[in-house]
Amino acid sequence: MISARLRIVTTPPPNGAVEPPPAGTEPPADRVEQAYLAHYERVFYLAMRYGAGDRAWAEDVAQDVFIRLLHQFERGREVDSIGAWLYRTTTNRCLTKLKRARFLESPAVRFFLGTRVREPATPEDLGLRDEQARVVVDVLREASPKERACFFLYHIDHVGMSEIGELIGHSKGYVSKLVARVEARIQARHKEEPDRG
Amino acid sequence: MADFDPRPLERVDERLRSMQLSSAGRDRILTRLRASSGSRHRRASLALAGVVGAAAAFLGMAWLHSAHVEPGPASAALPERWNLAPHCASSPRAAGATLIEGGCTFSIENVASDTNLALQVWDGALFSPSERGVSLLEGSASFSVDPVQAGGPPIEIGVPFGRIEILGTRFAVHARASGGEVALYEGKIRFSHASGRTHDLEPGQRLAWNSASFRETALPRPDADDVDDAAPSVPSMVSSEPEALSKTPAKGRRSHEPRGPRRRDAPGLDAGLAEVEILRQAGRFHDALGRLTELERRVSASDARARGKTREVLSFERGSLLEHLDATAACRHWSTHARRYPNGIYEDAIARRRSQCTSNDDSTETKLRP
Repeated sequence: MISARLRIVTTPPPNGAVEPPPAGTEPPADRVEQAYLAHYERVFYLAMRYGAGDRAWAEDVAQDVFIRLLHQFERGREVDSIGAWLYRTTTNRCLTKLKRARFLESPAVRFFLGTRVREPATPEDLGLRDEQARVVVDVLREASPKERACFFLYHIDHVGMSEIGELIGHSKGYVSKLVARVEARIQARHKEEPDRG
Repeated sequence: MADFDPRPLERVDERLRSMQLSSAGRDRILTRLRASSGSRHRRASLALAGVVGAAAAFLGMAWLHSAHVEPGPASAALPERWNLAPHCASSPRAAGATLIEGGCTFSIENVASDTNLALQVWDGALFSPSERGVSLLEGSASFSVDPVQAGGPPIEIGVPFGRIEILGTRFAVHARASGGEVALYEGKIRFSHASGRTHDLEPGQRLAWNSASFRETALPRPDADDVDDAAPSVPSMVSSEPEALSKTPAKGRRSHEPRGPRRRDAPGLDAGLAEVEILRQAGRFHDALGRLTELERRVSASDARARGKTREVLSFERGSLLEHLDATAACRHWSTHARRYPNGIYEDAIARRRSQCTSNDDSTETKLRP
């Protein structure tokens, strides 16, 4: 460990000037490590969003995403914008993982495998005291993975319906329907519990 | 849709954004990323290696049967699925054991149910592979384990006279021939003694054992100032130097007894050192250094006759912390330490570190001149 650090500190810059190596010439592992240190917070946050506040789940997703980036570099494939690639890959990875989790958490599969259901974070787990926000969390906990993704992409990231459709592989109309469905549930919940809204 | 108010959703999103990845989680992913580097190429060449290997095995079987096989390079002797960081040194030992040199991080993939085990070795430790994990035969190491899948078999760390079952956690172990101790920082572990008795540990607890029994104590609180005299006399994880692993054991000293500062040297020293270790484990090196400086001041104010060895231990700790913060300062410190404590108790470890300083330092600007 010490040797690696010493090498960084004491290697003299060539000709007295520090010149970054040309893009794409660094080893894949170094490039991924740099990308990881620059973007892990953003990737983790995106995964937290889709995992409804489950930290362990989000950590798994973040790890998967950066290992995919490593394999991408190792295959010699260039990534034009790492930020955009990570955003897209994290979203897709979350959707795939949530769909798989839904299957694994179905009663029949659980009966055969003897697994337990992963409980999403409650508003209390997230430390939310705002009643309106608590309603939103409750509804999102029950929403399907695609509904949750579309809802966040549309309302928080302000991505257009068509782009969301391209991202998750559905039509603009279907995306619109998914977003409207979640909105309707939240509004209905507010009406059921007017004192909370 | 126009009636929908997104502000509560924005507040939820803000809350999620504030829940950042812990530093331990960040390091865990980084370790796994490093371990994964090159794995794809390895898989791609697996088929080719299989064909070549089968042919070679067939031809070489008869020769291997009769020939004397010389031990290969250190990396060839590593058990399957052990991934050492590139700078790490290892060497095979008797009975399938492997000595991992100090300052080394490594991981073991798919220990149980696709669960990975990340290890950090401070000053050299002796390991051997086991069916459901790894055995720490001698020395100190910290472990970080993925959460084990529900229903899956637990990972086991074998230790002399016992084993530790783990379910996703972070802890440190010091093992010696006569027993050892384990300190738990996160998660939960179960210690099973050779006598058949078991004990579950909660975060913040420490357990020491020998061939006959074990005892559990609380780890010192960060604000603890005084040493609990009723606590078992176990050395702090910080001060344990695996002497049996040193190349030349110091004269007149029992080889299996870890050396540590004497408790009478300064009140609260063990607790302080344990706190330094906790801060170091959490990656808070500046805080650890600050706490160490306080301990040094306290020792300086104590009885001068008793403090020589203690100051040496503290100086060693300072050097190992500086390695995390400023490599040049660490090298300078090791030189000072070697001058101040010739033939000291950490002689071998200091020599190793100083040789790393000089061998890796080709620059004339920072080259050490002891």
